[in-house]
Parts: sequence; C-alpha cells; structure tokens
Amino acid sequence: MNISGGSSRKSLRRPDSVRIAALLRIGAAMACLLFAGSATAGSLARLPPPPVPAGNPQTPGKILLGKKLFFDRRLSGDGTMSCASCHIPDQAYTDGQDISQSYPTTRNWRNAPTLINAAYAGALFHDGRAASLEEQALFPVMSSFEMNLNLDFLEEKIRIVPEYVAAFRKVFGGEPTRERIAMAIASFERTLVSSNAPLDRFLAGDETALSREARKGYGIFTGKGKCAGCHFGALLSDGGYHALNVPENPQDRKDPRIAATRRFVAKLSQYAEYRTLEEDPGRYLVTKDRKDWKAFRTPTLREIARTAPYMHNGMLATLEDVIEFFDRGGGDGNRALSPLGLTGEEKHDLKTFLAEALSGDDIATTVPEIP
Amino acid sequence: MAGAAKRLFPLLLLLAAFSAHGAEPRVSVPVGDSPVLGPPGASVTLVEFIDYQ
Amino acid sequence: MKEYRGKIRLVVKHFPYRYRDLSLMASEAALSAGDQGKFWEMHRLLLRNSPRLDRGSLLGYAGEIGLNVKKFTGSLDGKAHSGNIERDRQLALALGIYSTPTLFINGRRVVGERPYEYFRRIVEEELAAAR
Repeated sequence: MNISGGSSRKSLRRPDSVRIAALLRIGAAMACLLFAGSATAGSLARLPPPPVPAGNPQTPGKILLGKKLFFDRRLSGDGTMSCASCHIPDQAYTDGQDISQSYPTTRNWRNAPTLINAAYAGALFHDGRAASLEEQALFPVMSSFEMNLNLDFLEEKIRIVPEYVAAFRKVFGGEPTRERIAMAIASFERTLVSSNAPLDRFLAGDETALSREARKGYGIFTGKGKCAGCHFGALLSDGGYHALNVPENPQDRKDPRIAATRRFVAKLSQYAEYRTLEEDPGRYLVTKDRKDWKAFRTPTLREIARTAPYMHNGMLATLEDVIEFFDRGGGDGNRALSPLGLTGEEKHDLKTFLAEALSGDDIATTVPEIP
Repeated sequence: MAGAAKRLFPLLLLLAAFSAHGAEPRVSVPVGDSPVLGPPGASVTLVEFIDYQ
Repeated sequence: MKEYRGKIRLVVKHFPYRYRDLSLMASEAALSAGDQGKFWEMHRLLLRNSPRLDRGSLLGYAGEIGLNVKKFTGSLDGKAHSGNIERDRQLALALGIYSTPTLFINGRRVVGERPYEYFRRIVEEELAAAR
C-alpha cells in the first residue's frame, strides 16, 4: 500500500473510487474525530474496536471476498503480485524490506507500512493522500511500479470469474466494480487489528503485563523521551505530518529506476520541477504547502517490533537505530525535534518497552482458496 | 533426486525457535522426493516453490 | 549458494501459475531432465532463458545439456511428472503459498524476489543459531 501513481494525471488525484470514498469519508472522519477525542498528547490509551464506516458495514461474506481479492495475483498486470506481495501475513503485513517490492523491472521508492491497525488511521500512505481504506485500496493496483493493472481491465478480469460474480452479487447485490472491489478489500483489512497487546493489559491495570524494564521504558516514552508528544492515544499517533529529515538512502539515490518512480509521482502530483527532483518531498506533493516539505505521516507504533525496517524509506534497520535517530534530535536541519540526551540504560528500557508492549496476539491468517 | 526419496520427510526446524526478531512463524515443509542440492546434514535448508515462466 | 557449500541445501518444488501458458510444461521439462540425472542443469537453463519456454526451446535445451532427446520428448509430451507437480501444488496451497517464488529458509517464509543480501542475512542468522 505504498505510494502510487495512476495511469493518468487524473487518476492519481481522483481515482474513480473517490465518489464512494467521499461518502465513506464523512463517516470515517466522524469516527476519527470521536476516536481522537479520547486521546491527548502525552498519554496512551487502550485500543478500542476499529471504526467502521456506515457506508461499508462489515459482513462475513464481504470480509472473505476481500481476503480472496487481497491474495489474488489477478490484481496485477502480469500476474506476479497481489496485495499480499508487500503485505505478507507472516511479516506482520509488511515485506521486511527498506523499499517495498515493486512491479518487475521497476522500483518502488517507499517502505511498505503494516496493515495491522490501518483500520484506525485517519489517512493512509506515508503522505496521507488517501482518507479511507476504500480510497487507498486501488492506488497500488493501478500504480505503474506496484501492481500495474488498469482498473477498467481489473473489472473485466474479475467479471469473467463466475465465483467472483456470484460472491459480488451475494455481498453487494450487484456486479463487480472497482468501488466494490475496494470496499471488500477494506473490509478484510479492518479485521487486521492488534488484540490483547501487553500495553492494553497494562493500561487496564495489570501491572504485570509489562516487565520492570518495559515499565521504565514506558516512563521514558511518555516523559524524557518525548515520544508521546506525537505518538499518543490508542493508536500511538497524532495523525499528523512532521518533517524529521530522515536521510535519503544514497543507494536509492543512485538507482535510475527509483529516479523514474520519483519523477513519475511528482509529475502526477503536478510538481513543476519533477525532472530534477532528487529527494522525496513527502506530504508536500499532496498539499503543496511549504511546511509539508519532506513531512511524513506519524505512523502507529503498535506492532513495531515486527515491522522493521523503519521510516518512510526504511533507512533505519532496527529499533536501536530509531532510538539513536531521535536521541540525536532527528535528521540534519529538521525543526521538529531536539536532542534528548538519553542514557544507555534509558535507551535500553525504551527499546524494551517498544519491543515488548506493543505487539498484539498473532493474527492467524489462512490464505483462502482463490477462484 | 531418487536418493532423497528414501529419506523420511526430514522436517525442518519447527516449533517456536524464537529468533532475536521475535515470533516470526516457522513452517514445516516436507522435502519428500523433490530435487535436492547439497548435503542432507546441512544446517540450513532452503525450500523454494518456483514458477519458471 | 556456492558461498555456503556444505552448510546449506536447496530443495526445489513446483508451483506453476495456471494463467501462465508455459509454466507447467517448463516444470515437466525440469523433472524430465531429472530422470536422466540432469535436473539442475535444466533448472538453470530454464531460469536463465525464461520466458523462452515454448516446446521447441525446451527440446533445444535438452539437446544442449546432452540429454537423450527422444526419451526427454516422450516424458515431456506424456506429462510423465504431472503427479509430482500436482503434489507440489497441493502442498503449496496447504502451506498458504499465493505467490512465486516463495522460499522457506529453515521454515522462515520469504515471499517474492529479494536482493541477495536479504537471503544472506537470514541464512547467516540460521547458521549462527545452528552453531
């Protein structure tokens, strides 16, 4: 579910799913407001059940249909990729690489975020350009460097499969469309939720849910480490965008295929100097607001122990690297962070908290039979 | 590869061999009579499912 | 592979995608070559020359590596190994494989093509764990 570009300028900015997404957005925005309402900077909260947009209620049939589509290679241009190529169940729905998998012969340019708890996010993608899972789902399908399938063709490919036709009729009362495909996938994704994480048990009053070191780390997280200034609430995220100036990967900078990807996305975003762009402008490509230059969405920290490597470009390989980065006060020239001066022991305790507290029970995913 | 056939499914490491990365699941994959390259006593076994096209 | 000679072994199983026209026949070709003791020679040729996997090309490869081409052709056309391939396919589905290549390194699943360094890191971890 990484950055994408559409097959045309129009499609990046307004995929056809936008019509339905607009309807869903109102519901999702309300859910997010309610959700954020319970969160204050500096403190953490237990994870409630995920919000479900009124326009796309969860049903077992829809979830199963979405799961089939999620694992189905039909959704890529050459049959090599499915959503699960980059969001691999065994790897906490990431792909474990700095830069995520890409369509054969091309290169992606950002890290594949986990889908676990994506149901709670107010905006999707590192640059937050999708407002709901329904809106998000089709971007990678049509993205030239991800699944690379034309959405008109997608519809026809699904419509020639009798099992899918029957399932769509049963679930939606009509034929497969790109909007319904997105809705089904989103429904499946809403089932991928952390449950019973030690943090939630701890916040419910069970002191023994965290080890002594992790409890100390919790104190650093909400105190001296200032982590909870942005990573707060139930999702451990402020839902905002910050320019921490994570360094560009020098290897990636040299890769002409990544340059093509970067220019392509910038071009679709109507960034005038796209042909000379040497770095990832992040949220700026969405808002064109100077303050968003190189800003990226604050990710949830839930499941973080299983979602290495870190940051939008996977530049930080381990939690230790991440802690060092923040302790230094972030990347060169950033104005969002300042040095923390953590001691070795404090860093260790913080790492223990991150590694121990935030992983929910394993989500056992059985790959469905694909028609 | 006929030699490999006689070996009784040497099951790969399984069961909660937790690595430093936490609980990455391990799957037990029977070798069966599939083509094998490398010694039976190797400490690392790679089983690859491929499509040549 | 060479780097770890003696310490690792590679097992190949077949999971041809049904929407690719030549995948199944290519797997038959590799296993047919195996009947004459040359599975790995054919395996390497198929990987190197993919997607040139039409019947004519396969027969050419058989000649190239010195197989008895007549025997090979009989095996290929008679789908002599369809049972083995179907068994691999069933195993793949049972293991929840949805994409190729999928690799298990001591049971740790790696989905899709990765840079060599990615595999190396896991192999090193496994070798260290075995010590």
